[in-house]
Amino acid sequence: METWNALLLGLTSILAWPAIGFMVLGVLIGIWLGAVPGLGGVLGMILILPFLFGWDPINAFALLLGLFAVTSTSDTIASVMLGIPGTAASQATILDGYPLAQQGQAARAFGAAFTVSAFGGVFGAAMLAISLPLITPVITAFRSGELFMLAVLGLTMVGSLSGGSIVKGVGAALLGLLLAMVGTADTVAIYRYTFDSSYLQDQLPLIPVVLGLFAIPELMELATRNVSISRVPKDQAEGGGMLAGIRDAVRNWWLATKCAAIGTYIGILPGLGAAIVDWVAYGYAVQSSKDKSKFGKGDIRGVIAPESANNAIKGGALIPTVAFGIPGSLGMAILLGALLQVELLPGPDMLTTDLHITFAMVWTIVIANILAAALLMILARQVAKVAFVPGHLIIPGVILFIFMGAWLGGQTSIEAWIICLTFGVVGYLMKQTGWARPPLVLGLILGDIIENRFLLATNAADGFGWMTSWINLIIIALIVATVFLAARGVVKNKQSEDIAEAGEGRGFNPAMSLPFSLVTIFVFAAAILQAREWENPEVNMFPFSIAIPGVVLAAIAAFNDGRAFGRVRAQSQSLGAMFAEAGERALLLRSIKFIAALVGMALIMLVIGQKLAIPLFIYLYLRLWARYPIWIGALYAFVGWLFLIILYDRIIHLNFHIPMLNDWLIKLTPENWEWLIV
Amino acid sequence: MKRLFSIIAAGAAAVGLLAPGAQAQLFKGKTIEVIVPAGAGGGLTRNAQAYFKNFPKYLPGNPKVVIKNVVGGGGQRGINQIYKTGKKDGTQLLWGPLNLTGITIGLPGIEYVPGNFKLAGAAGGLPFVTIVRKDIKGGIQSREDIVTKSGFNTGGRIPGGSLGLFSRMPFAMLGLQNKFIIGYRNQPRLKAGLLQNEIQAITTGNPGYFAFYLNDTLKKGDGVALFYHPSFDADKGDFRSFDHIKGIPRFIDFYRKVKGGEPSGGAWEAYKWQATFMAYPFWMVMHPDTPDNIHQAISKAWLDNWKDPGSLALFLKGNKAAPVVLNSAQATRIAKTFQTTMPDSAKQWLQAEFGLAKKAQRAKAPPKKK
Repeated sequence: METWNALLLGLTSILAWPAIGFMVLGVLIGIWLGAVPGLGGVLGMILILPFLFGWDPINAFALLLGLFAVTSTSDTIASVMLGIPGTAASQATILDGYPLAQQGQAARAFGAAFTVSAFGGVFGAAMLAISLPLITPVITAFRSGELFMLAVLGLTMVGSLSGGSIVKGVGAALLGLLLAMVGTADTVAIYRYTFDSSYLQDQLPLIPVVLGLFAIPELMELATRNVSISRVPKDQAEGGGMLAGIRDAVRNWWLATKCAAIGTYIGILPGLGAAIVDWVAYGYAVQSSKDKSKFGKGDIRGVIAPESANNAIKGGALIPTVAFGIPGSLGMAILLGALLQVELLPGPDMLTTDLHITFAMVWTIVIANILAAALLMILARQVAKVAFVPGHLIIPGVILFIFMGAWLGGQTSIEAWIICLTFGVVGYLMKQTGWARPPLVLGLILGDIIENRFLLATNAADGFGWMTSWINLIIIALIVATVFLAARGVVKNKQSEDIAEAGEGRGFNPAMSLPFSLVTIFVFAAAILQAREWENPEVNMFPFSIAIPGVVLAAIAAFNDGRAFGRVRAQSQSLGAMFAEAGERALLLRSIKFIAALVGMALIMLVIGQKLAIPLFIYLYLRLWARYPIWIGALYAFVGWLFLIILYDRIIHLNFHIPMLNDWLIKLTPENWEWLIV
Repeated sequence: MKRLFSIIAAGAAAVGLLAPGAQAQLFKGKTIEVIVPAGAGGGLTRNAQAYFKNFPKYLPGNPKVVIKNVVGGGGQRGINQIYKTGKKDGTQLLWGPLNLTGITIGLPGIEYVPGNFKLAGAAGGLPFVTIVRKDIKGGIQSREDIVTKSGFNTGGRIPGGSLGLFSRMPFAMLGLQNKFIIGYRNQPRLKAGLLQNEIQAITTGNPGYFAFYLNDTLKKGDGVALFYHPSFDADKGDFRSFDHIKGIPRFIDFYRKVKGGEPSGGAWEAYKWQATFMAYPFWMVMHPDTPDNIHQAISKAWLDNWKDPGSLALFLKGNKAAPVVLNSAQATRIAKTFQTTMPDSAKQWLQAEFGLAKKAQRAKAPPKKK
C-alpha cells in the first residue's frame, strides 16, 4: 500500500506545476542535444548542474531526467540521415538506418525508431519500478568476472557485424581492442602506445574516432559522387512513410520487447554502460532472425532493435544509481552528482522514505519518452525531406558539427582533430576494402572493460576460480552458441550473396585491400614488438593476446586479398590499368582532395581558430567545390558562424582553440568583444 | 632622460592598475574558466560548483565563472594545460589537487612545477575514512578485531591514488597481510566491489563517506568504519581532530590503542608526509606569468569567498565540516618546500607502492662492467 501511495504521489508530483514545465523544457533541450552529433545528454546535464543548488528535488530531476531520457530518441536523426551516431548509444542504428535513408525511406525509419524508443523508455521505467526489490541480488551476483564474461559475449556479436568476411570482421575487432590498450595500464603507471603524447595517456577518445570512422567517409561519398543522401528521387521512393514505420514497429513488437529487456538489464549492471547496448541488441536481432540477408542493407529490424534497447537502458541504469550510489554510465554518474547536490543520499532511503521521489523519476522517464516521440513524429516528416536535398548543401553544416563534436568529445585539444581525420581515412579505406567498421568500434569500447574486469577478477580471486561461477558457466555456453551461430550465419550469407557491394564490410577492391591488409599486419607486428618492452605481465598480457592473433588474421586476410588481386590482375590489361580502375572505382583522387580540404581547414583553424576557419571552409566549399553562387556561400557561412558563437560559445562555453594569431585577432576587435572571432 | 620616462611610465601604469577605478574594471565583462581536472560527476566538481557559486562577487568587475572538466593523464592533463598554455590574465584558473607525491617520487606525466604557479591558496585537510565489510574473514564484532584478520582484499582506484594509499599505509603499519586490488577507478566502483565482496576494505574521502557509506553500508550494518585519517598540522606537530565524523577514532589513536606505542618505518613516514602535503584537494592556481595585481585580486577573493556564509553553507552540505583554508603565502610555502621534506624511507616505500621502485633502482645502479 505504501508503495502504491508512493507511486501515485510520484505521479502527482511530476504533473504539478512547475515540475511539468521543467520536464517539458528538459525534453526540448534533450531533443536538440541528441540530434546534434557530438553533443548528447551528458553535456546538457553538465551545463545545468551548477544551477541546481537549492532546487526542489522533484523539479531538478524533472529537468535533468526529461533531458537525459530523450537524447537517445532524437539521436536517431543523425544516425539515419547522415550515417553518423548522434550519441554513443545510437551507433548500431546507422547500419540499417542510413541505408534506409539512402533508399528514400528515412521517414519509415523514423516512424519505427520513435515508436520503439517511446516503448523502450516506458518498458525500462516499468521494469525499474517492478524490479526494485530484486536489484540487490542481481548487482551482487555480477562481479568483475561476470562483467568480463558479459563483455566477451558482447564482443562475440562481432560475427553478426562482420559483413562479408569473418576473418576481416574479427581482425577489425582485434584492431579495436588494440586501440583500447592505448593509455595508462590498469594496475601500474606505465604508458602503452602513447608515443610520448600526454593526450593519449588516458585513452583514445571514442567520439573523434567514431565521427571520423563513420561520418567522414559518408560525407566523402556525398561530396565526390555529387548525390543527395537518398540515392532514389523523391517521387520514386516507395513504402517510406512514417505510418509504414509505425506499422513495422507494431509488427516487430516481440523483438522490440526483447531488446528493451536487454537494454534494461544491461543498464542495471554497473560498468557495462550505454555504449554497448545498441550493439548487443543489434547482434541479437541479427542472430535471432531466420532471414539475415537484408541486415546492413536497410532492414527495419536493424533500427528497431537498437532503438528500443538504448531508451530502455535509462530506466535500468537509474536503479543502482539511486539504490546504491553505483552509476552504470557517465550520464548516471552526473545524475548521482545531482542527487547529492539536492541533498538526496543514494541508499535505502530512496527505496523507503524517499520512494515517492524515486517514482517521480520513473514517471519522468515514462512521460518524457512519450512526449519526445510525439514531438519527433511531428518533426520527422520535415526532417526526412533533407534526404532529398543535394548533398553539397548538407556537407558544410555537418562538417561543422563533426569538427566541433570531435573537439568537444576529444578533450578540447587539437589531437582530437588529428584522430578524427586519421580515422576518417581509415574508415574510408575500411569501407573500400571489406573491413567492417562496427567491430572496430565495439573492440575499442569493450577492450578497456575486458582488460580491467579480467585483472580485477583474477587478482581478487588469486587465479581463475571465478570462471566457474554458475552465471559465468551460462555466459560461456551463450558465447559458444553465439560464435557457432554467427559463423554459420556468415558462411550462409556468403553462399547466398547477391549484392556484393551493399552493406558494411562488403567492399571489394583488391588493389586497395591488399595494401591495407599488409599495413594491418605491420600494425599488429609493431604492437607485439612494443609490448615486449614491458616486463610486467599485467601490462603486456592483453596487448600480446590481441596482437598475436591479430597478425595471424591480418596475414590470412592479406593472403585472400592477394589471391583476389591475382584474379583481377589477370583480367586487366596491365598493373597500371588495374590500379587506375581501382582508384576510379573508389573515387580516390576526389576523395584525396576532399580529405586534403579537411586537413587544410584543420591547419587554418590552428592559425585563426574555429570561429573564422569553419565559416571560411563553408564558404569556400560551396563556392569552389559545389559551385554555388556567392550569396548562398556567404549566407551559409554566416549561419555557421552564428551557430559557433551562440551554441558553442555563449551556451556551452566551449573552450575554443587559441589560434596562433590570437593576439593579433584580439587587437582587431573592440575590447570585451573578442569572443566573436576567437 | 629615456630611463626617467620609463620610470614615470611604469609608475603611472602601476598607479593606474592599482587605482580603485582600474581595479573595479579588472574582470568586468569577462568570463573566468575554472579547470577541474576530474570527471563531471565527481566530488571535486561538486565542491567546485558549490565554491564558485558566490566567488564572482568578490572579484572586481563581477565576472562570469564557468567550470570546465579536463580529464586525462590521471588528472594531470588539466594541470599541465594551465601551467603550459593557460591564460595569463586570470581568466583561467585551476581547482584541484596538485600531485606533490607524484612529483617527489618521479611519477611520469607531470609537466608542472608547483612552486612556479601563481597560487591563490589551497583548502582541504578533511579526513579520509577506512571502511571494511563486517563479515571480513570470519567477521568482526568491534573495530579492534581487525588486527586479527589477514588475507583480505583492499581496493584501490588508480596506481598511486591517495585513497588506495590511505588503506595501504595503515594496514602496513598494523602488519595486516592484505592484497591490494587496483583498478576500480572511482568511488562508486569501489563501493560495488565492497558490496559484491570482491574486496573487503576501502578508503573513502570525506564527501564520499557521507554520500555513499554512512547512509547505506554503515547504516545497514554491512560495514564498519575502522578509523579516519586527518591531515597533519605541521605547525603544531600533530594530527588534526574532527568531531563531525562521530564515533570513529583517528588512525594514530587506534594504532596506539591496539599496538601500545608509536608507529615507525617507511609506511609511517609516508603516512605523515601524505597527511601533511597531500591533504589539500582544492588548490586554486593560475598561470606562472599572471600579473601580480590579478594574482592579488584573485587571492583576496579566494579568502573572502571562504568567509562567505553562503559559500561555506554550500560546502558544508556535502562535507559536514569546514575545510582548513591556506592563504596564498601558506600555499606557496608548501609548493616550494614539499620536495625537500620527504624522508628517504617514505620515498622508498611510496616508490615501491607506485611500481617505480625497480625503475629507481635501475637508475641508481652503476653500469655493469663488461
